[in-house]
Amino acid sequence: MEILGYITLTIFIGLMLATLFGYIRTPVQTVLVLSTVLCLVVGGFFRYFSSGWDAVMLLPNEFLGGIILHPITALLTGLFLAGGLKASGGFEALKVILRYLRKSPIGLVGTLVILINLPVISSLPCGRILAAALLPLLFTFSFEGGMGILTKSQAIVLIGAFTRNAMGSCGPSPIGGVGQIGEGFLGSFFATASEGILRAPQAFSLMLGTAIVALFLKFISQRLYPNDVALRENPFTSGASEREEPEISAPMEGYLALVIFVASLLIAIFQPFGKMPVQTILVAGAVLMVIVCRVRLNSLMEGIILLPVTAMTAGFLAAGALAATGGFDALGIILNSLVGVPFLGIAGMLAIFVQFQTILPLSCARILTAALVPVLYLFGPAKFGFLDWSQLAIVMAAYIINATTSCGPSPLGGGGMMGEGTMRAETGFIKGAYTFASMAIMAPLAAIYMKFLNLSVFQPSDPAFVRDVLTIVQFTLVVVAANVALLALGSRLFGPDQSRNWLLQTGGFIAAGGLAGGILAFALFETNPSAIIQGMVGGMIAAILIGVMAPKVLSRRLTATLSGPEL
Amino acid sequence: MLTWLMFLFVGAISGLILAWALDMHSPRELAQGAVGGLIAGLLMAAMLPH
Repeated sequence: MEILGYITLTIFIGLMLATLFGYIRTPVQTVLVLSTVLCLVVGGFFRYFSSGWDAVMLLPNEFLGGIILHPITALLTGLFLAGGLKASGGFEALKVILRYLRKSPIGLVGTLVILINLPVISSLPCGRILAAALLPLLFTFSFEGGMGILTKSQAIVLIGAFTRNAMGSCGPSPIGGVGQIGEGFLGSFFATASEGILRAPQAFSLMLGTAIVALFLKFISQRLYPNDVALRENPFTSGASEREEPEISAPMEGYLALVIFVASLLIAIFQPFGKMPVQTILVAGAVLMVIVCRVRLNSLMEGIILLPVTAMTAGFLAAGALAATGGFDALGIILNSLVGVPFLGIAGMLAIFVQFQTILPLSCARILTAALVPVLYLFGPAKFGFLDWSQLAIVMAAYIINATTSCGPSPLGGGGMMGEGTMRAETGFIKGAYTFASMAIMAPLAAIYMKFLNLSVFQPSDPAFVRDVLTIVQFTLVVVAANVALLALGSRLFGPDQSRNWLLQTGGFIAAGGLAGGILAFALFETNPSAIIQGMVGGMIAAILIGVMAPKVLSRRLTATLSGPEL
Repeated sequence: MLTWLMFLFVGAISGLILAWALDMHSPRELAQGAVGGLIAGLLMAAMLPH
């Protein structure tokens, strides 16, 4: 059976890589279904010849038994409720509120900072919902959008940072978020994990990661790809408004829908009326919206974006097929063998593993998360025993935020492409910024936050879990200072030679990856020097794999993609 | 309480960096960015389980 696992794992990874590099040009969901069918057919043949017909008959049960329905139904109901908000003019009401904020003492910049962080605050089950609603508003701040409040560079930073935040906000969502997949597994030990043990570490690191993305776009991306954003500069002046601001109004139903939406979200999170499934609360909220705001059922249904739902379902199908045919066991054995490599060890292997989805970014994070979180779970006490439960929670926090942000830089219809479209940029413009922040900022800080604060919040009775906010502050400041220094240095060293610039960027990735791997190892094994060195080596290997995937030249790459791969 | 503190801290840092990245360099604009970040951090902390 072991050889079967290697074959099905090769089928799965081979098909994913072929899709990522453009050799297969069909939606990734179709490829996942193909992978599922192939794995099951191959598995059926193997079982027939090794154990007979009875073993083949058991295969469908084992395959379907691995599919977890809770995140799928939570996602569907979350999108259902968000559809009601959209249909009743709730997003228009939000725009009106933001306009008032701009005129308040926090001014334009304070409002923009809140706006950029709005996706993670609202934590919808898919970042595309809020991005689709608010990206047109952000575009209006640019000269071409009508208001002309922002310069070209400011508009790029605003749109890029907002999209980054949106395409990570599905992770900490309590209504079908990506993180709930990991929380389900951690529930084996942490009794209250399903209440959101992974939410705070994700939100903490995403807020800071968003800021670093903004700096990366300003210092690096705009210098690396100077001619790849078609957004025009304001010809009148830089910054001051020269045009009339378009009037924004919202119907009363929009405000009511916004209140119902926020109330539903709060009830789902805090459960003030006793324990009940989030799906029930969200459906009740949607029904209330139908009655109070007179939203048609069709409008609510239109809010359901199929991509994340089908991506999640296809991911679970592929994961179920891999589990039933021993694919995960094979992956576990391969990663287990990495542990034996002297300069990698457990820390190095985990430093690579947590970056896996940024190395292989697909259109929706749920696809691979559904497949790989079970593998991560096996590293814990459940099978391999590399990690105890608290260490597993720390790695899970780092893995999930890295995974959940991976739809942003994906060239396979990833959410970041919405931002690139809005800023009129070539595909791949944001990839370096997004992958850098996920790798260098978010994964290590999520691990630190989990270790030094969140574990004690969810297991207060255990004296082993400390509350040391000063250490979190110190690590945050060190990580931010190191990465800001790297970005500033990189921008100073950039010249007219694009190949050299790209090499410099890759060098920066490796340095930041080493730091991230070292911090992750520290979060797991504390001051064990060999583990920290192994973590740094693992982090640098992951960084090389991520850095070389960042495009060197955008226009040529796009042309090459459009004209077809050279097989 | 510590969760609130942490999110106020990260919000302020994030707001400051975002303001700088948006070419808003005057002390008033940087302060506004930090306050915007504080508000964002406060709202985020309010949405989390404690």
